[in-house]
Amino acid sequence: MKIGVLFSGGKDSCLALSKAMKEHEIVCLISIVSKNKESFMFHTPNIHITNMQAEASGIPLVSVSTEGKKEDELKDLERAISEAKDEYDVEGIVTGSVRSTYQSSRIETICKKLDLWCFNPLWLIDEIELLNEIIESGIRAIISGVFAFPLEKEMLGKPVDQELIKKLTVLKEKYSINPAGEGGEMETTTLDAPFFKKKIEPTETKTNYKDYSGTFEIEKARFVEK
Amino acid sequence: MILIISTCSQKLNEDEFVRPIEKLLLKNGFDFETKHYFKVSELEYDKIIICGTALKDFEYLKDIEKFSWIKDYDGKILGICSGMQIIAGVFGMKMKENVVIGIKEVVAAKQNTLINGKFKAYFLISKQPVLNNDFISLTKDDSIIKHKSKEFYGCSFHPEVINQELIVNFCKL
Repeated sequence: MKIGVLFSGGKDSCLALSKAMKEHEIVCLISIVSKNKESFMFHTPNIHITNMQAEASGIPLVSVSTEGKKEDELKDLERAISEAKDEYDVEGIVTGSVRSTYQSSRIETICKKLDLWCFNPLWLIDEIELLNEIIESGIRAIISGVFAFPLEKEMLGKPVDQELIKKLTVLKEKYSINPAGEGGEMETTTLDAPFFKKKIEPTETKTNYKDYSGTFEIEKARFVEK
Repeated sequence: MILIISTCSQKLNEDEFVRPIEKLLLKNGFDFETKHYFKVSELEYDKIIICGTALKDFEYLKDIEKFSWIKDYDGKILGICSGMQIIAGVFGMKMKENVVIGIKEVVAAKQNTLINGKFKAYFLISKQPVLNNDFISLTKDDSIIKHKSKEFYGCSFHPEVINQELIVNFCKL
C-alpha cells in the first residue's frame, strides 16, 4: 500500500515511519507548519528540520502551513493529506499518535472523508516502552522543547537516551509527567535514524527558557556522513 | 485460556487493535493466545475476544462463513467493533450505516457484569448491527449487545482505549 506518514520530525513520527516502512511503501512525508506555538494538533519546535529529515530519508515531503487556529488547523491538515493523495497516490496515512483521542479522532475523520486507510502503530503503547523502542530502533532524537513543571533548562538539547528515561521515570512517579510527552510536556527533534542516509548536525542553536517552558531551536544545521 | 482473534487484514493495524488488548491481559495476569481469524480452528478456549480493525477494513465481512463456529461455541465471546459486526453477521443481523468517530457518552440500560452507569467511550465505527430477536441491548444506544441465552457480547466502541475494566470484567466472567 502507498503510504503518507504524518511527520513532525519528532521521535514518535520517526518510530511510526520506521514501523510502517517494514510493511508498506512510503511515498511521502506530510508536515504541518503551524504558526501557533500553542497548537493542539501539531508539534512546533524545529518543524523546518523536516525538510532535512525528508532529504536524509530520501522521501518526498508535502509541507503545508497553518495559522494554527483550532478548527482551521484541521482544514489545513485535510488540505495537506488531500495534496499527498493527489500527488503521490497515497492510499493510507500513518500517524505517531500514542494516546490522544482528540488528535486521532480528527485524523480518522479526515481519512474517512478522503477514503484513506489510517494506521496508528504506536497507539496505547506504554510510554517507557515507547522510549526504549525508540532508542533500540536506532532513532537519535534530542529534546527540543519543555513545557511543564519541573522540566529544567538543562534538558533542552539533551539526547533521548537511557539517562533521560531514568529521569523521566522519576518525574512520572513524583509529578505525573508523561514520560513520552503525550500531554504536551516536551517535544523532540530527530537527528538520525537507520533510514537516514546522512545524519543531521545542528551548527547554530538558540535556547529560550523561562518558568519551566523553553525551546531548543536549531537555526542552522548540516548533513554529516554516517 | 483466552483466545484473542485478530480481524485485521493489514498487519500494521494489529499494533493498534490487537497489541493493546494483549498487553491489558498480560498486565492483569490472564493467560491468552492470539491468532488471526484465518488460523482459528480448534476452540479449546474458555473465552474469546474478537478485536476491532481499521475503519476502512471490511475484509472480515467477506469472510463471515469463517466464523460459523460461533453458533456452536459453548464459551464466552466479546466482540469489539468489527468483532461485534462478526457476531451480528453470524446471527443474521443486518448492518446500518452509522459513522461515529471519537468520544461519546454511553448509558447502560440494564444492570450487567461488564460495565454500568453513564460513561464516556471511544468510538471508531461506520456500521452498526440492527438487533434481531436473538440479542438484547445493554445500553440505550445499542453500543453493547448480548445474546439472550449465551454469554456472547458485542461492543461497538473500543474499551481498550477508555473503559479497560470492561475487558477485564469479561475476562473474569
